[in-house]
Amino acid sequence: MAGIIESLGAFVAVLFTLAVYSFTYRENPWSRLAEHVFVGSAIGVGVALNFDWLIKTWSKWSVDPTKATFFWLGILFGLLYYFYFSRRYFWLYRFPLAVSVGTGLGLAVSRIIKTEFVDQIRATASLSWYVPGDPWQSFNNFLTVIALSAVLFYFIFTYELKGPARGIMTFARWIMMAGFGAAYGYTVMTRMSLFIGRCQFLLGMPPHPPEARTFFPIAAIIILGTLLGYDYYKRKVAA
Amino acid sequence: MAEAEKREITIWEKLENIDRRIIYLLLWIAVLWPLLSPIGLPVSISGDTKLAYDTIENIEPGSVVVVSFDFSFAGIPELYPHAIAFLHHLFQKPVKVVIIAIWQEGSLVGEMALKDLCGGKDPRTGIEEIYGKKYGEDWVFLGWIPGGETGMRAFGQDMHTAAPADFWGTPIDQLPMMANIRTAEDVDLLISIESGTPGAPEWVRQWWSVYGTPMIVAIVAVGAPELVPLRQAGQILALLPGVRAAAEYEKLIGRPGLGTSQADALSTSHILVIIFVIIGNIAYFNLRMRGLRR
Repeated sequence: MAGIIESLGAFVAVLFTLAVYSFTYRENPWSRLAEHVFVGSAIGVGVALNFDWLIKTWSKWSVDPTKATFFWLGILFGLLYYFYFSRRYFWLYRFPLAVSVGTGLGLAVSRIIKTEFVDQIRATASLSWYVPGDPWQSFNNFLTVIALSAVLFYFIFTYELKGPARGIMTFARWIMMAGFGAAYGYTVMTRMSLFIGRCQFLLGMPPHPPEARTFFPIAAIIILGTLLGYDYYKRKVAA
Repeated sequence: MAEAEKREITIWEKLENIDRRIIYLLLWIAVLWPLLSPIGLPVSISGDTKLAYDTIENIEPGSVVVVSFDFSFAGIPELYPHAIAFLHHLFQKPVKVVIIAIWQEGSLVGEMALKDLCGGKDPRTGIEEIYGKKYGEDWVFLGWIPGGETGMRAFGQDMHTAAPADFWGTPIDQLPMMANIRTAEDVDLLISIESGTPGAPEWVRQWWSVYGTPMIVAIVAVGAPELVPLRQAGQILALLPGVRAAAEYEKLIGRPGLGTSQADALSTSHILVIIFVIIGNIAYFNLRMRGLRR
């Protein structure tokens, strides 16, 4: 038997899930309440986890004077971010930002050239157009090379394309359309999965709390009742 | 003009302007119905899922596997089944498992998954009871590693500095297993369960390109097209997109879970979308042929 706290948690989760989905009916106070509570609680969790990490790190780094110095320097440097809210000292905010951007870019760019440029070209160039005993793979490899070349050709803007070149551009456009279609298919899959995941929760399917199934119709009646009731009241007043 | 105004609205015009609430209602039905009474549509196994399974199945005893929770609560419907399936499989193998989270909320999802695997008990004792894997000796949960891509690099260079304590606050030096696991060079396989940035491209940049660590990636379906080139180039060993791949993996390990139960609902909801796309197209071309639409 679930405790009161667990049951209350399940009820709040069911209520807020349906409050978010009530947006599909129309924008309403339930959906706005859910949005605001979500933003607030997500930030709260983030702050708590940050503090938790700081405490854990301090417990280990505090014994080493060098690490302890860097620890406090890091915190002080991070606090400079708050000068974003000051017009007079806004310039101080730029220091931690510059370090973050510089470090991130430095780490990424040095590797991007290899992993997302050289390695990709090498992988495409090494594709074999004939894979013995696997005609589909041969076709796939051939299509990959042709499609890549055509799409690269499509984005050459330096001269006006005429004659056969226009045919290549049309082919490239079709290839890109097919790519967008596939990407959109995956997008639909994700959106549906998110919805199905919440439905699994609402139905209390393991490992979700089973009491969610009991609360589902109750929360649905509360939300739908208030929305439909309010609409009916408004229509009546207008009449 | 008056004649045009009097013209009756055709069924196709009505279909083109269906109230979105009706569509949402049909979607609720299409999803809830197979969840309440499963159809049991067959799930075929894709090549990458089989490859991921075989990699873990045939992994050398004593290997070190890092499982990274690179997603937040929003990714749970698609990625949680992956997490459960991977951890369940890994805990049955003679390997050392290091669980981390590059996304902040990932550490909380990780704890949730570990608790689920041992029936809600404290994972440090519960996992040992169920799988015989002792915490600190066979597996560790280091929690959140801050810094995104920078954090990945720092963790690869020196795990003991980047993760000074585990999720529950135990100093990393007190976890015997970690004595010999200090950098990414000590890791034999990385499994990233992720829903975006930082994710696989960052792991590839900071781990694969530097240390050559083989990587299995489970990702939300919407992010899969972006990673296909990385998979084609061999930077990712196996790519498992969306809940469908989770259902396949659950089938391979013989432990049906949330992924399997989603499979039917996923199919029916997709069928509904396809039906609406077909109706929309027929309506569009019908009205165009009759000159009612340009």
